[in-house]
Amino acid sequence: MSEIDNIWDTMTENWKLADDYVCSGAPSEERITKEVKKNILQIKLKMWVAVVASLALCVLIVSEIISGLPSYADIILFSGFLILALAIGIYTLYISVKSLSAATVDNRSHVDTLIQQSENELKLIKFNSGACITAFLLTLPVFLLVIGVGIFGEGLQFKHYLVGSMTGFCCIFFGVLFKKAVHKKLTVQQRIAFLTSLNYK
Amino acid sequence: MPNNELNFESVIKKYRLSLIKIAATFEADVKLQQDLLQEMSLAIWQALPRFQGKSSLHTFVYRVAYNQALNHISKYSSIHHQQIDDSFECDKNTPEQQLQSDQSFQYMLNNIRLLPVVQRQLIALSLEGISYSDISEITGLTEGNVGVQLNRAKNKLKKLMEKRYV
Repeated sequence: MSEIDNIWDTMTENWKLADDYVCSGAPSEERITKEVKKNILQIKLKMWVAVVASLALCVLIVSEIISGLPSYADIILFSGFLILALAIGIYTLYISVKSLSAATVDNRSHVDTLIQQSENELKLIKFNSGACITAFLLTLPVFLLVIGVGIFGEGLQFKHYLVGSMTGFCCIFFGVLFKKAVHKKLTVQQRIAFLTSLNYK
Repeated sequence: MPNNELNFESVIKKYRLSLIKIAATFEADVKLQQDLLQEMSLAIWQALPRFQGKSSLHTFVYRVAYNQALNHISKYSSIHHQQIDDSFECDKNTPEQQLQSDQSFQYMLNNIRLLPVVQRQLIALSLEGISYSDISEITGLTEGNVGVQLNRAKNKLKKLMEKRYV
């Protein structure tokens, strides 16, 4: 028997005998199950909050459009938001379903599946960052218009402050989201590079 | 086994120790090991409804667990390499003496963690007593490739153990 075989046999023996050592300090079955159930609940809660928030946003935008918007610019702005909200929702759903189905394909290697999932994630991030920039560009002119009215107009009314603060908040919000998306994109690209480097076939 | 007979608790009861050992081959830090164990358990929970009995349950569980482990280390790959470099220490005993010692399992893990990810995966599955055909199904490699890669991994492991012995 070669030296490698000797070492391998001892390792196999040690691996089998390590159960007691492994058990000490490791979480129990009950704790694992409890934590998993807690995680599932959190995921479901987040999903439902996102669904309800998206629906509420769409309903709000549609009701504003139906009740009549004061100008064509408002109609374009609100329509833009509605299209963005719907597109992000549908695209996120599509990518999630695609990733789930990729994970169940049996004749793929794991690394290929993970690369596929990461590429889907990258597409989603690119789409989301594009959507953030579009939303930013839609809200920025309105915000600048309100500032313009404040500086050059006869004075600001309550509705100007309201619209100004809302659009200002939206500009910052979409800007931060875009920055986060860029950071996430880099992370996912690094992950794809790492997984590609594992492609051992 | 039919899908409706499976429940998460029974799967965890059966595979908990294997999952803990797998997590230990990927992460040196106890906290990260437990995080990985939790992630693997969550992935198994999510994947169980899709189990249709086309493969054996243990192939399915290991496949999901390794998928998650790869995902986990791909997220923390830069940190991971740092940890491996930091944990590299020379041993005073020969590999054979180390393997007979009380800390033999930890010694094994320290060396296994120095292997490339795929070889680490093959070594751990082989130590678990999984057959070549099942390893092939779990990893997506051909059976022939599993044999070749596993031999390379064993040789590399032996060299690592010798290298660490001064």
